Amino acid sequence: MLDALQYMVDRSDRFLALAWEHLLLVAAGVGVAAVIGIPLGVLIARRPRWAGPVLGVSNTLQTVPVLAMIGVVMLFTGLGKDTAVICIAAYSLMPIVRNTYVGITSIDSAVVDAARAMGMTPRQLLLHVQVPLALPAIAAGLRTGALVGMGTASVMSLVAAGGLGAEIFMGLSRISNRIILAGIFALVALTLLLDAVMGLITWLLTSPGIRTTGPRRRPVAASRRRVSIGA
Amino acid sequence: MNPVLWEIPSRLVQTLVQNRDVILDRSVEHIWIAALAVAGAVLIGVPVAVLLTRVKVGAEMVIGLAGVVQAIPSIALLALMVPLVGIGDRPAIIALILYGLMPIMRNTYTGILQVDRGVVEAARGMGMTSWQVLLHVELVLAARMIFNGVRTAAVFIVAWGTLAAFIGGGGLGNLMVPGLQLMDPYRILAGGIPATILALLTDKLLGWGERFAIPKGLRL
Repeated sequence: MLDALQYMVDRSDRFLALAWEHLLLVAAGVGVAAVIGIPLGVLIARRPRWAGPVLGVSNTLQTVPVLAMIGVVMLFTGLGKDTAVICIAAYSLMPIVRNTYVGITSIDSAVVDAARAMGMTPRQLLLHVQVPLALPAIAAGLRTGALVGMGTASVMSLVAAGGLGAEIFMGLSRISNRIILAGIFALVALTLLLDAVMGLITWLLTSPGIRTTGPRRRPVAASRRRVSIGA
Repeated sequence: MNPVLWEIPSRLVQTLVQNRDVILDRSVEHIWIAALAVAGAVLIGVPVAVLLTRVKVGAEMVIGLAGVVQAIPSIALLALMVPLVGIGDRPAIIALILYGLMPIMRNTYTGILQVDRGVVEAARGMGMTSWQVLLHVELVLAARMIFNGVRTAAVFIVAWGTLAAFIGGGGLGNLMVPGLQLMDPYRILAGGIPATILALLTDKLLGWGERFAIPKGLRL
């Protein structure tokens, strides 16, 4: 344990560079997924007939083992960061599309009707009512997408795209517990850090009127229990 | 590396046909490892979650902890087993069990708490013991959610089981690792295509089984 920490401190330059590389991969992948996924989610919320097929395809993508995904993408883009970003985007697409869709479709229909009755055009309705109310859900989707992306990015050193996975794979091939543990520490620390930052962003994006309390999402189980006691 | 597009399918089929024996062996191995891991996750996850619904002390914390385990990138969790347990199938199965625990525990916990209290009261009023209430009322009514959690866990386990090869475990990952080292996408897909089919099959089969897990009266 202490060995591993010592190793990390000794090579802090390398670890910081890998962590930065890792974050950039995740940011690029989740960014691509967001640019595709959020409009797609909005679209299927308005055309319910397309919702089934789109959600089905993104669900299926999620099921594909990551190494198989690497193989398929490699056929077209070879080695390198492009392949890594495409793979990460493919896996973080599902939570983003689904959360956007659910966020918009679960808005109280009375609110939508009220906005229509006030004479809002469909465009205004979308931009001033539906998207702001769905933002917390969309942000939660991005948070899940980022977590999934962290996991996917951690095997992308296999396609020469770098990231903290490089340390873990080096440790595994040298059978060095010290290097393996150092890589795991760094990866877990970065994951928790990213999750906390994304939680904060979710809170900031939530319109103050519909905020619950702190930056953490309220656990589902707790809120459900309250409901069942009331009923 | 980048052949003409129309060559891709024929080369893929060729690789798959050439390696069919190995693919079959490794698939069987993969199914075994995944099945053991899913069984382990169910045997640990369901009783622990049931216990948590009874004592409620620290339940949120335990479920939250399982959530943190889930957030750890799977390659990190698998690699962590090397210093702790060593290499081979056993550490791979342990890591996959840990990975599958969260969806099973969370769904069992919320599934049981979601059961209408009125129904539980009615069962008690009929003179059922708490064991009978659990076995004949709560678990039955929560069956759908529990099964859904098992399905999620199983798909995870089958898909991430391909990484077991990196810590010396068996399974289809062993066909993909040499492909990665040679940077030959066809070799990777010789393991990747069967692994994808296995994962999709697991999802479909368990989705189908989910319907039978629900008592007749509750089927929609």
